[in-house]
Formats: sequence, C-alpha cells, structure tokens
Amino acid sequence: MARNQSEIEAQSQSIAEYVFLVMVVLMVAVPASGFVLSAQAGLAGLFAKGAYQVQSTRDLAQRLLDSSNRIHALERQLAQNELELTRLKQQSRDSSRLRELLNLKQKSERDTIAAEVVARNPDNWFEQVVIDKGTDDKVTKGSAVISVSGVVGQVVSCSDHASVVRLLTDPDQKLGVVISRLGLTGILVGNYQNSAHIEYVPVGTNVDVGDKVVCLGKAGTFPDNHPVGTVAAVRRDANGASMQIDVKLSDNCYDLSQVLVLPPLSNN
Amino acid sequence: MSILSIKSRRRLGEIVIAGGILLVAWFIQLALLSKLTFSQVLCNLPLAMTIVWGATFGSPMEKPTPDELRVASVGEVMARQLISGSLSGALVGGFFAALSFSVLPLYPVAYPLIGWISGYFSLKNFNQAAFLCIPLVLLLTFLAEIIMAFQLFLMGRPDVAGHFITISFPEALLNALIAPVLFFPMRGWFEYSQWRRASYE
Repeated sequence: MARNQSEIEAQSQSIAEYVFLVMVVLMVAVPASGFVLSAQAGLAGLFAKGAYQVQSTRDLAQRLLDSSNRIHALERQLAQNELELTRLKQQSRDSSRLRELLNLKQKSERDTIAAEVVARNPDNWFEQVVIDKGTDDKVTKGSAVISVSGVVGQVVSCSDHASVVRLLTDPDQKLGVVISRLGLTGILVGNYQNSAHIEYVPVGTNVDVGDKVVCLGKAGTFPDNHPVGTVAAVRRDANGASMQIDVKLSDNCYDLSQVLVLPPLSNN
Repeated sequence: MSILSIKSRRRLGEIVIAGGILLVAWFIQLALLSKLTFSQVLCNLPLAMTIVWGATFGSPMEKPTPDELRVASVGEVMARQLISGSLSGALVGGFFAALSFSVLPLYPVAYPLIGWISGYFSLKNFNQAAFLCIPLVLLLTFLAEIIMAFQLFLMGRPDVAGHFITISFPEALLNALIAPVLFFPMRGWFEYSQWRRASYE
C-alpha cells in the first residue's frame, strides 16, 4: 500500500514536471517566435530601404552622368557654332571687302591686279608686307598698291609669285599728295606707327585739322585723287621756317588683307 | 656601298633637320607671329632662336687648361675669348639673315654676329640654364638691335634712334619671354646628339 502510494506520488511528480516543462517551453517559445517574426520584418524593411537607397543613388548618378554628357555635347555644339559664326563673320567681312574692291577695280581706268596679303615683314625696322602676286601676274617693281580706303604702299621687289610692298608707314616711303580743299601739294613721309607727315609746307597756308589729303598722281604710278588720309595736326617744324602737317592715314596698314596692285602707267 | 661614311651621313641628317626646323621657325614668324604684336612691336623668333642656339651649342673650341692660361699673355687670352664664339650660332644667324634678305632691303649682319657672340655665354654647364637664358636673350636682343640700328644709320635711314627707343625694350622683353620655350627642346636635342655621338664612339 505504501509502495503504491509512493509510486503514485512519483508519477504525479513526473507529470507535474512534464507540465512545468511544457509551460516553460510555451512561455519561452511563444514570445520568441514573435521576436523572430518582428526581427525578420525589421530586417526585411531594412534591406528594402537599403535597396531603395541604392537604386535611387544609382538613378541619381545615372541622371547626373546623362546631364554631364548632355552638357558636354551642348558645349561642343556651342563651340562649333561659335567657330562657324566667326567663320561666317570673317567670310562676310571678306566678301564685303572684295565687293568694294571689285567696285574700285571697275571704276579704275588703269589695269589692276587683285592680290592678298600673305605675310608681314619679320622684324620691327621695316614696314613691309608680302603679297601673293608677282611678275607672273604682271606685277612690276614700283607698282602702286591701294585698298578701298586708301593708298597702301608701293612694290619694292618682285619674284615670280610674290612681291614685297613697302607700306606708307615706312619712313623710306614717300608719296606726292595734295590737300584737296586748298590744292596745296606736298610730299608725305611715313613715320612707323605714328602719324605720317608732310614737311616743308610754307608758313601761313590755311590748312585745318580734318582736311582731306589725296594722292597727287602726276607721275603715273599712284592713282590721282585716291584718298590718303586726313590732317591730324599742323605745327611749325623745329627751326620754325616752315610748317609740318601730321596726317592720319585712311588705311590701317596693320590690318590688311585684300589689295589692288596698279602697275605704273608706262608699263601699260 | 654608300659614298658617305656613317658619321658624315649622321652629320648631314642633323644639318637637314636643323634646316627644316629653322625654316619652320621662319614661316611661323612670317605668317603667325607677325600678326601678334605688343604695343605694335613684334616678337623676333629668328633672333631669339639664334641667341638660344648659340648659347646652347656653344663654342667648338676646347677649354684652356690652367697651365695654358698661366703662360698666356692678356692679348692671347683676349684673342682666344674673341674666337670662342658659337660657329653654329653664327651659321644659324646667317641662315636667318639670308632669309630676311629676301624680304628686307638689307642683309642684317646683326643675326650672324649675335649668333657668334651668344657662344661666349654658353649655358651648357649651368644648372639654372633655363632661367639664365631669359636675361641673356634680353641683353643680346638689345645688342642685336643696337647693331641693326647702327647698320641702318650707316645706310642713312631716317629716325633710327627714335625708333630704336620705341622697339628695343618691348622686342627684347617678348624675345626673353619665349626663350625658355626654345631652350628646353634645344637642350634636349643637344643632349640627345651628344649621347648618340658617345654611343657611336
């Protein structure tokens, strides 16, 4: 009897232990499964957010890259357009000059040869340019060189396909001129980048600043009445015995491109 | 079998290359630099090149030994100094002067003279040669313009002194500014030619 009693106690104790164990398992497992679920959900959210961030960063970088490429393409196009515009402006200037030169050529009663300035002199002492026409094109030494705006200079040496022109700004270049308002004649002498001058003008002549100076053209080299410049200043020379007239040349000899060559009349 | 020896052919090749470079420099001056002015004054590439050439390649004469200097008289030392200019510099200057003579109404003797004189200031043995070539070109350009002005004065050209004052400083400044640009490749070429010569010998 006592033995049965102890067996029953032992059995009930082991059942209680099992129940306790099951309860403990349930107590731990039920919240743990919730935690796993929430952790899983959290992690999934985190991953989703990360993936979204990566995707959006990638999209942004792609857009940035596209924009950069587009900017580069537009910049290239702009540069090309600017070049084209410059070229067109240059062409427009050239064609305008050529048209004016053609008008001058048609008006001229003398033989004329159109030429282009291809180089300037290589040093600072001589005011000379090289043109692309020579003896093969009937350019001769001593030919006058003019442009639409005025007298440019004179040919000083020729080869078959090129000639050297001494500009009016060179101190060695002299030109017979007349102040058209007064009919006063004189010899114009170049003075490098400064104004050219007419020397030994008699004191008392009524020359004013702004008077037009044109080519005399009596020797048959330079065309008569072709513009040379305007009077810029009138003053007594160093010894006071005569006057010196400063002349601003009408052609800017430092920006020449197209010119007309007029061989001397004796050659025609 | 070739008529010329390897050494002669090599020398001839160097002369042809040098001639080509000088012609290119001349055309650059005529067609390009003549349009770029500083207060209406042009940079003179041929002159700058002549000076740098003379200073880079120097004199072909051997340096005197201390014993030779000790026994030499002042006159001998002076004479030796006078003849120790740069022969190749003078030839380069002469070449440019001949090209100029095709355009200008005179043969500019200043070019070969200054090429020779620049050999007195050989930059071969200086560490700061690239820097030193700037004042050297500045001074020798002045000297070249003085020689040119004197030649023009003898020819009776008007207003030489006034124009010399106007152009000499801007031109010397422009030439001095481009001097290092010329000096670096020229020294490179000189060193390369020395190395090739040594490797052949």
